[in-house]
Amino acid sequence: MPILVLLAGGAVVGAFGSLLGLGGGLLLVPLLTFGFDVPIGEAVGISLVCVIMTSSASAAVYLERRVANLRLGVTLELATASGAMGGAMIAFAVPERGLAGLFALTLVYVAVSMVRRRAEDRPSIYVPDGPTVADEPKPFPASVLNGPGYRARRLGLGLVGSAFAGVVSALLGVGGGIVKVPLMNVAMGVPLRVATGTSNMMIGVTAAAGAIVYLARGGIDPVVAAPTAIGVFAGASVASRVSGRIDARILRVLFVIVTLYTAVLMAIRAAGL
Amino acid sequence: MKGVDLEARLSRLLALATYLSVASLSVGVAVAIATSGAVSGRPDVTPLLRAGIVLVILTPVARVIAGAIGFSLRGERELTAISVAVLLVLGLTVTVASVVG
Repeated sequence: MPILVLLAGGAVVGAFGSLLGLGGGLLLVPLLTFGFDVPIGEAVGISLVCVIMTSSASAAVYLERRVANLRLGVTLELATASGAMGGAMIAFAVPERGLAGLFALTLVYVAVSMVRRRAEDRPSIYVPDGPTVADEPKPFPASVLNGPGYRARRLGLGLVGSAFAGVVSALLGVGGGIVKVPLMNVAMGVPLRVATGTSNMMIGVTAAAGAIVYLARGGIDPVVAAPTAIGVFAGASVASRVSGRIDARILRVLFVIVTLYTAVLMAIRAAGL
Repeated sequence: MKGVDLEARLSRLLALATYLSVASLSVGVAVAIATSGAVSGRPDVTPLLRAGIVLVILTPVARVIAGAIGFSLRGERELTAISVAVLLVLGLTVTVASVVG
């Protein structure tokens, strides 16, 4: 397999993944599957390694800039890691076309929910109605999970959704950002940029839980995974340093385009065409 | 320890571990590219690449461990407990994957 092409493909995927708050698996699995004839099951394992690389590279920047909410991310990681462990276990029992169908359905759902939400009517820093944060009593978790100008609401829903994100991650080789970013932004009231940074940070642990299973089962080819991961690292490193200059609405439009494009490809694969 | 800038320290840890894993993978890939035209005597870079991949997977795990220590030093008991629970889940994953795989 051409190593240089894998490097270049990884770089493009890494840049998009970082800008969109995703691990990059959303594009990487189709790239490996359609571009290099790697079976989806193997592409998922390789993608998880690259997803971790994306998360680690960009999370370092997001944490340094205080964009990621460390405490909220750590709390939700407990759910995503548990979900990823379960998802990786059942992934090996799901046939290839089934995985492709799940991939397509997940993407369509995410794209539609993003479009219905429309461009944010909500300010970039969301301040909820009612009492201010300072006026609230501060039992755990509210005292530590809030951020400047916003309250993290519906933690229970966030935990359930994060567990689902973990399952999706391990099944499909994505970081789970496609679930976590809208979950934190829409359901929990976390500003989009903070949700993106926090998701990036969480993706590493989410994907690690799944990757451990794939690695133990021989589902990760080092010769394909290594150059792809290096490319992903390079792309993500560059993109995370310019993400602060990109309008959130542009990020959302890019998100919808990418998810719909990938959904069509995967639907075709699921249908056996 | 309340004054410790945990985010900055975790950021540096993630960056360092990422660079180490990238360096490991890069050496393996560079050797593979350099020797791709050789008819015989090509070194087997797979173990090196595999080690790099393990390092990649361990990077976020190291961040959780460092976070648990940091939260503990800052007296944030709930987040220390949550971080330890995340590590237990990851440990359980390794155990189950080893048994099943």
